[in-house]
Amino acid sequence: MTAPLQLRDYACAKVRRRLDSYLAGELSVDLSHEILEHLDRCPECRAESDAREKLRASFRRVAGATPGPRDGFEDEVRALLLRTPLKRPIGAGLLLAASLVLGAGVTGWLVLSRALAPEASRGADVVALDATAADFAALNHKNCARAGKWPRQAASPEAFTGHLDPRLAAAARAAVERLPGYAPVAAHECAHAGEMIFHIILRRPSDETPDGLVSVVVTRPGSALAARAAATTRLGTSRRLGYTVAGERASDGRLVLVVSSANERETTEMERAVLPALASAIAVR
Amino acid sequence: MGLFSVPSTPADRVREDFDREAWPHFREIYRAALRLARRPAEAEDLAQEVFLQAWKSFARFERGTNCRAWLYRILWNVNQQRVRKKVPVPLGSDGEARLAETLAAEEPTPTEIRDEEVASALEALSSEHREILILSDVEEFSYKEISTILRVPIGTVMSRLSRARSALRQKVRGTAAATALFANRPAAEGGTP
Repeated sequence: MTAPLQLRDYACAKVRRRLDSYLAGELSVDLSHEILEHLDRCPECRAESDAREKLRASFRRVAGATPGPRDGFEDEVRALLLRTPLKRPIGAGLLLAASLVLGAGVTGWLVLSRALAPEASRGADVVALDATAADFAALNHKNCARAGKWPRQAASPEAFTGHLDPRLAAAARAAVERLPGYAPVAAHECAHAGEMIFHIILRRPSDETPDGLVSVVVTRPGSALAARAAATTRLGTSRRLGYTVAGERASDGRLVLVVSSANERETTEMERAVLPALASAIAVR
Repeated sequence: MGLFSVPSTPADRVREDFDREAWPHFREIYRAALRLARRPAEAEDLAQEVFLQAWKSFARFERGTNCRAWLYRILWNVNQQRVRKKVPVPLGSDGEARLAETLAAEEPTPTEIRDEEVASALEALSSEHREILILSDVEEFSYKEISTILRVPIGTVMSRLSRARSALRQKVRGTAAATALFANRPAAEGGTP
């Protein structure tokens, strides 16, 4: 049991009120960072947050444990649909195709090929990075990594990963190890546009300007963004908001995205370097 | 799947779209139906009706938007009709629970929680609370998507979810306390020798 709640502080009350939305990834970047900062300082609220996260995980296990349909049921329904005539068929497939082509033209993808990617090696062709995924990562980089008051480098290993659960801490350390010369700045879970993500911030060697900051963004496996991008994403880079985003889907369904001010080649190399390390450190939940 | 390999008839195209956008969610929708209806036979009826309606109205589905949420919206709609045919739940229960939640000050959430305790807490929740928690935490829909599925304003989603979460915590605290009473453990404050 955590200590009985004594809301000494208006800040605690405010954080507790928003804690569930924070855990659900529904708060704005600013608000979730306010909460993150508070959780770093306040052991009681941190304990409450951990307890709620545990309850959430248990609820997910309990309520999500539902058996699938019996064998044959899917085929029965499919057969029924095939017998059911359509009233007003439309040529929507063409529309979809047209909008995809238009979208690809406007955003100007750079498609890269890659031999060693875990997903790409299985998939047929390497295709463009999903636009929503790229925007999402670039925005988070802009609003969190660049707008936040981060130190030049994390003061200590403890300051970098001490507050994280062991799995995420290992992932953050693994990512840094795979990028020699890059300095660890911060690692945390944050929320952006309804997605809870794991965010690692690094700094390029000898670059103390905001342009030296690099974000590694890892989504949750079943998240809406990962699901949306899953159908199309293998590997790609894209320029968004003036940054380069390189991203890929790990074998457990998470998206791993790297955002930097460097060029495409460099950003892709970073993404290639961190993906296997992150994938092995973060087991499928 | 070639983008430019145009199928022969419009109906074929719709079928192809349906296969790509809706069908992959079939098993998930069945499981969601089972969580709502609780009995496999009723879940089958529900899932079949959802896909039948989705198929018939697929022309109205806006391509490229969230098909999964669209199917859930139909599921909730069909389920509403199913529930309405049944004997309604006594009106008082939900209101009372809500009153109790409002009055109770939030105690800390227990740190040691067993799945069995959560399972019994889940059973004790009102169906309204159980459903919205499942949409948010199991199906991982955003507040906005839940508001589309349940056809309620986003503010209602937020307040209902908040009540549901605090009801769940309260129930878990209740079962955890009961478990602790039966467990052979020294009392927390000093206790008897």
